[in-house]
Amino acid sequence: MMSLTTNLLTGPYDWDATTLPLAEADSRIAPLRAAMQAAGADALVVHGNSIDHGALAWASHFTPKLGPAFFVLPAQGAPTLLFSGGGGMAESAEKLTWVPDVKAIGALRRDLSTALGTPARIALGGTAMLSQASFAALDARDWCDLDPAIDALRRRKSTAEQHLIADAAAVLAQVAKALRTAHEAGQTMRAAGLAAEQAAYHAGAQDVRVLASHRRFGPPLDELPAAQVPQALAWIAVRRRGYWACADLTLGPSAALEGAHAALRAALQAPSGQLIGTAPDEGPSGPLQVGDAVVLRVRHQVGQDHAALSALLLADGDRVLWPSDIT
Amino acid sequence: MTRDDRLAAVRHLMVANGIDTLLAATGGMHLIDGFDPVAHLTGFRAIGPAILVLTATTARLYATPASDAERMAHAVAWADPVAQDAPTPPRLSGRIGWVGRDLLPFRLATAWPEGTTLDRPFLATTARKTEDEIAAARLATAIAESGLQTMMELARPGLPECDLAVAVNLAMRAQGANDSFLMLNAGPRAPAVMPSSERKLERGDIVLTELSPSVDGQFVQICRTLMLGNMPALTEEKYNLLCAALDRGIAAVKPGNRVADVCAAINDFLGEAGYAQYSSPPYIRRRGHGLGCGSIFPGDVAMDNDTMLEPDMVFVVHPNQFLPETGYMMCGEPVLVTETGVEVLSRSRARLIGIPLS
Repeated sequence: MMSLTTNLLTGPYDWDATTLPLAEADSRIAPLRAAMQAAGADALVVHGNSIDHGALAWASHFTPKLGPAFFVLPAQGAPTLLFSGGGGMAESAEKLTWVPDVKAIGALRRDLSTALGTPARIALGGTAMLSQASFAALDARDWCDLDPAIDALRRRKSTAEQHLIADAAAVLAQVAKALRTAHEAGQTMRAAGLAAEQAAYHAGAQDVRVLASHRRFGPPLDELPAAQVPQALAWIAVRRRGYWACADLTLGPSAALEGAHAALRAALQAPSGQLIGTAPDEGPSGPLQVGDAVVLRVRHQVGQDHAALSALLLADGDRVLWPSDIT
Repeated sequence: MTRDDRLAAVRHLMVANGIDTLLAATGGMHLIDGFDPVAHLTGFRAIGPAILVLTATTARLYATPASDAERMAHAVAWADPVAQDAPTPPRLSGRIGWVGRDLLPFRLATAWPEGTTLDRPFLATTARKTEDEIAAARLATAIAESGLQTMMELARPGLPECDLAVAVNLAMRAQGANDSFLMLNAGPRAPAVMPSSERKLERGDIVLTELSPSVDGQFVQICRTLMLGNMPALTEEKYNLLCAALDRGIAAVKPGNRVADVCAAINDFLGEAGYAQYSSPPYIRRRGHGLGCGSIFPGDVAMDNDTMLEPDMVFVVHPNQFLPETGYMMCGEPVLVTETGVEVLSRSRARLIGIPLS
């Protein structure tokens, strides 16, 4: 995910069984275990940290706040969630997950060993940002990368997940409106970005990211230009109840905008893009499959003018969640 | 002290250890409870993993992602930055030293050559803050105090902890903080400070908070305790005890003293007050910690830290404490070691803050 992560996520992250019931959790454990066994492993460890925790959040609904966390699933028996923080923080950590057995990490090597037992082969998930220190603590002499299998399981969104992504997209619309309004009012990009963040939280977001620049990818919000800029490209992402929605926006007049709209309409005819769910980028979609949530991004340039647009699509019935006015 | 002085000190360290090429790495996590050698040496907060390759005469930053090239080129042109999605090692010669290798994603760490670990001497060599960093720490402290004012204005029964935390963070960002580590939780008797949950504040809650904004990547921290509604005399009495312990600790901050002396001043005072058994694990791990690009030198304010205090070190002293009568309470201030003693960076000192309710 291309944005500076705030040091400590502070939005509403508690697991809410009314929006993502325990049955949803149960429906993920069995295929995870099957994938683990198909890979010849007799234990699974899914890692996450505050930058990269899409797989961990899918497996456990846990969002790491202070340091790395690990979902440990033995071949038989209940999973354990190990989190970074003191034992006195368990009360806070337990609210974040549907995993009943939550333990603070004291000594990582020892705690992983206790939770894992003595597996001959460990399957690992959430490996992209697994640190050298954590990998060494796993002491995994024989291991396999289960991320491709977990990605495949995460890909097909359940009905509950689709509703949550649609809810996030609704918040996204409010964020985009706040950003545009502040920008058109002549505010600096930094002030406009903060206004957008505020709108997101008021609408129930647990996290929001705003990047902006004159051309392509921009710096994180904290490094946005202090001056007001007439034109900008922005990327906004909103997470609500564990699920992301994101969009590209073009702020201000741009001669490239009409071409970008045409490109987006064309893209919707044969869609493929970036999968989205418990992470804002779950990887390239290739040809769409039933249950996909996908972001289609287009960019267009005319002379010195740039434009960026995107659409958020649910593959079931090709339902466009963003933008609402595209046909 | 300037950043160039710091780079020169690191190159001296390389020579002293027979190192030809130093690889200073970050995983892109700018955690207050960790450290970021790349930001510490360059001032650049990478979005993802990054490695600074330093020789006697050259510096080159390999940082992720590739799409961040424009920002890198602008921010650290002197370090000849290379933006890649998966940095590949250049041809490296001579003896190699590492700082922060454990922070890297393991695939990236193992793709680069191994070398001698220099984390601790690196931190010791670069412990003094630059003038710019001290200025940033001063501003960050003012922002933290402003954030506390916002918290005092907004805290009320019925408001979820996380909503209060978000509002305070946004207020501090609007003041110029570029990041924030904000612990905030509440309850009638909390076992510890912890990240915010969706629990709603209630009358009679003790609100625990550590406000840790950063400016230009320099984190500071103030620790405070708020009381929603009537303030029981016993709670105030015990809080004042912690404030007196804080005074003892701060008085021990001066060049030539060890960090352990600061911890001992606090522990001895609380021990005399009858709380010796609550002044060690599992109740207490440390009485403060380093500040800057993470919780860096002079390290934890703990009994086993023999680091000698030097001018221009910045750290927080916090005798945050579980007391059997009240539960956990927090008070702490960021301090700068001066040539002759100590400067407390915060303008107003910790006191038990009462939030009157109608």
